[in-house]
Amino acid sequence: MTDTHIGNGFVPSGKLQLGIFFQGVNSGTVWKSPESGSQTDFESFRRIAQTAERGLFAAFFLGEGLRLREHLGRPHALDVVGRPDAQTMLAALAAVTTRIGLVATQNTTYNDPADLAHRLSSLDLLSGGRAAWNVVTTDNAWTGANFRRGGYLDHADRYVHAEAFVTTAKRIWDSWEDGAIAETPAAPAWAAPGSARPVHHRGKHYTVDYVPRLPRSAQYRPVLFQAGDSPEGRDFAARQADVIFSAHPRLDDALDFRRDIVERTVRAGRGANDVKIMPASEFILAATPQEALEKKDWVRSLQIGPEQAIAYLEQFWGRELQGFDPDGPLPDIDPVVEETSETRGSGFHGAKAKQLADQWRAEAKDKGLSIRQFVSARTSRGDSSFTGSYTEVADRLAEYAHTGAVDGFNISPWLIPTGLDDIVNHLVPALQERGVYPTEYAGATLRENLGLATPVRQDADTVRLQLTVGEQLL
Amino acid sequence: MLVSAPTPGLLASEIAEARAAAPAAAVIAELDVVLDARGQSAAGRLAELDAHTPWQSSRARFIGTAAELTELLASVLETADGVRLHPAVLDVDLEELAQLVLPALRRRGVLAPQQPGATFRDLLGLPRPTSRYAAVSAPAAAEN
Repeated sequence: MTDTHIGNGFVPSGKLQLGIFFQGVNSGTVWKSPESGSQTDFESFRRIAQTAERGLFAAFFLGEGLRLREHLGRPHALDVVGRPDAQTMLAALAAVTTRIGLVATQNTTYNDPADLAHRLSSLDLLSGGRAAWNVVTTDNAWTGANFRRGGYLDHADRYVHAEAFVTTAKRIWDSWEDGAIAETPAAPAWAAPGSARPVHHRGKHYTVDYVPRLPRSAQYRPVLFQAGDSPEGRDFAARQADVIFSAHPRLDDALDFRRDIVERTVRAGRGANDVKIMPASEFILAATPQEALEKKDWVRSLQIGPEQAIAYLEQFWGRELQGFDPDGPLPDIDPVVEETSETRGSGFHGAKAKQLADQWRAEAKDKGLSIRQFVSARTSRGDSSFTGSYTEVADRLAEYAHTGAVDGFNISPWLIPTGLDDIVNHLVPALQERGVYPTEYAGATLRENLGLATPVRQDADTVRLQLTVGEQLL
Repeated sequence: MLVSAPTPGLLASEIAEARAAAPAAAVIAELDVVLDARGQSAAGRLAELDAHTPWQSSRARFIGTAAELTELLASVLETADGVRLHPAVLDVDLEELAQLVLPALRRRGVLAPQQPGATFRDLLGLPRPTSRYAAVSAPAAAEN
């Protein structure tokens, strides 16, 4: 029996929210089905965002890809690539939607705080208070090679820098007083004198002397998402984020993660319910359990074809494996032992390669798995995948709501642009029947729809207390 | 002249009849429209709407995808001067028409490009009517 107690004063809301993560990269998105559509046409984005909004989804989420994936030194060409700039795309989507939140992933390493804060403010204003920023650090030199500054930031400093960046952005968003702009023509000035306060920051990597140009939005300032899973990332989220896009969808893991985050959040001086958790997830649904299982096999066969299976192993073997039969056993030759970069897709380094290869060969032999079956099992994100009939899956999700393990799920559809249809047409009504899903939008802004409180203004005094060593405030 | 028919397939013969009866008039076909939208099929949407309030009309009704409607309209507009579309739900179907159907028809040259400042008559391709006083006033002016 799973221990469902959370503690620290946390109260489960008993409700779930859904988000949609339009991935635009990687093998999770099937492009070989006749139904597969464009990864870049606006029409794909419009269709899926409007479908999500019909299903009362809280958020439409876009990632950030700053450099193409590479494979053995060449661009990886077997999976979809797309990802138009998130803020540009979300601005267009703001015009064809009315309630759904618009989440842009943006890094703190190659952006500048005053510029990024202004662009996010703009999105927040034009969408009527629906913008969110998913804060990522993306500090590696491989990505940095695309940028003027290069890989200037030590991996160890990524969150120190990110925190100074986010704190500066919040101060920029908080710099305008409420009611700063004249409400009547009789007012002496368009903006009340002194209502926009300047923001100054002297840091190791950037300097800001800025009088912010935009007033606050309907939701005060953009909502903050965060996804880092390291202890530093979790503490950063506990101090700064409104929502965690987590990697822990299995119920017992989700409960552990919730306990950990609640503890960190309370320690950071915030309320136990202040940080919402929405894990990444994939849904494979059908009318009956049997159909859903068959559908899963079909989806997996399209996600990991023979070429993808070989390419996946090549990342770890560090060498070409084209001579091996995808439907045969794992390669009997050993990996090339060399230092590779994680960002190129290799998940481990140097001497560990041989050890891992031995372990995988043993595991595949034990279970009687071919290369393709083995890779499919490893990459299918089994933990984050919900397969079953609509009612089965709705029952499973209701348990997440009742225990408070998560606040909702950020769904990556495996098909674009029709991948949300069965979720909105069948799963959402089943969740509503169980009383664990909204039957209407709670409000006009993303903050209201996520049940988040109005943020406390980040005045210079409160900020000073939170700053970490290495960054200082004027 | 507005023409309709019991089904979209029967519009062509009605258009031909109207054309024969009034050669000088612009012939406009009338069509109810329900489209696939927001992850839901047109038939599913119509069933939901009808469960609430049945949609009664004597016009031909199109139920399907934007691409199918584009084909139908391209064929209707070969003989008719225009169509008057009656969307099932303005907020939803109008957007599908604006985003998908009209741009596709324009690309195919079926719809004239939008002309800023054009009159309704210009859009319909109708000639400017002669003033009923033109014939008498012209000689009158000459006498002065």
